[in-house]
Amino acid sequence: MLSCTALLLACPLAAPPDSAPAPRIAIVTTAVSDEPADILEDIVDSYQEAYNEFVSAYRAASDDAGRNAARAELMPDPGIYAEKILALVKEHPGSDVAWEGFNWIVGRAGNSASGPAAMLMMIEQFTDKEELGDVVLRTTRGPFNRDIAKALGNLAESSPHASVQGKASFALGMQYKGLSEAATDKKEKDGLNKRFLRVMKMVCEKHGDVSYGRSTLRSAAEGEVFVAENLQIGMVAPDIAAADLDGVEFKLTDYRGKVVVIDFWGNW
Amino acid sequence: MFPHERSLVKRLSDQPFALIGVNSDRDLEALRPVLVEEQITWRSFWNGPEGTSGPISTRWNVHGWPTIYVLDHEGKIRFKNVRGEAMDKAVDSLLEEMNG
Repeated sequence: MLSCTALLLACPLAAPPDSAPAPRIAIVTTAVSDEPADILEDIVDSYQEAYNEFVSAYRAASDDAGRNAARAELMPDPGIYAEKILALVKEHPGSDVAWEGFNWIVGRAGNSASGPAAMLMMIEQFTDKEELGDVVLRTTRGPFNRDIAKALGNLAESSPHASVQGKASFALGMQYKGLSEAATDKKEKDGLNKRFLRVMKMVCEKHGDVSYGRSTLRSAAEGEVFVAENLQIGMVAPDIAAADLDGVEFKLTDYRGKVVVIDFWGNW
Repeated sequence: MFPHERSLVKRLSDQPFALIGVNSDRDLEALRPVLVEEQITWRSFWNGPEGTSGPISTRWNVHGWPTIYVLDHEGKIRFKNVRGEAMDKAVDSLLEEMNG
């Protein structure tokens, strides 16, 4: 913004030839504030500016090489901003600024080094908040670790909101699933998988009606259980019986005796 | 995606192999010209008017498209989410196992 103004003032074409010399303009910068909310806003704005700069360069690039260069040189790393935000909000636990800062981190930089730390502090500091339910659902895409699992377990027990109890329970189940998939020891893997199934069945029974996106936790948890019990490598695939694109009914098992690729697809 | 599947289906046309789609387009009429243009000759189940929220993909807990399962001739799931060359290799290995 500042450089644009400076350019305009410096440009001789911008001023009529007979005009008096332009008056010196005092440049007023935003007063430096030590209010945490202002500091947070500054960090978020600086990320947004860097991101916008990247997007303009990316759009302006005429070929893949240009786009790759823009990505490599200009795409800001949200992890760096997340680290700054985390350092700031750590000083103000339980405040509105902390809530806002944690949300930025888990939303934009959940997979950065600050992601899990922010999630854990958020659960601890805002246990009673109803909005925490949708926040913890982000953990279903990872990372998977025992600290997060433990925090989700605590939240499922101590939140006063039924929706948060349900969402935290579902997220806990997904942590067990992720941990089981990553485990190398067979006994540990099986143990975690059993916990995963137990939690998902409990979600169906106790929290099934809680909404989850456009669906419910029951549908999501049932889907997880179905995959675990029917769609693992080595299992005989469950049959599908439905109409084809011309309305003719057929079954997957009609193709028994052949190697079959099942391809879930769509034209989009 | 389509070109790869097309070439796989063509290459294995004389083998005990089938590619079965589960299509999640909401509007079948809009899809018909695409089937012709893209030479999509393989058979697909239709996931119904609810599109990606239809009954088959819901039951199979599919949240990403495309999702791939590879079954052997006994109907057992042997590979999941193999794409491109990996899908070809998976299918070839199962055909070899079956014929050999």
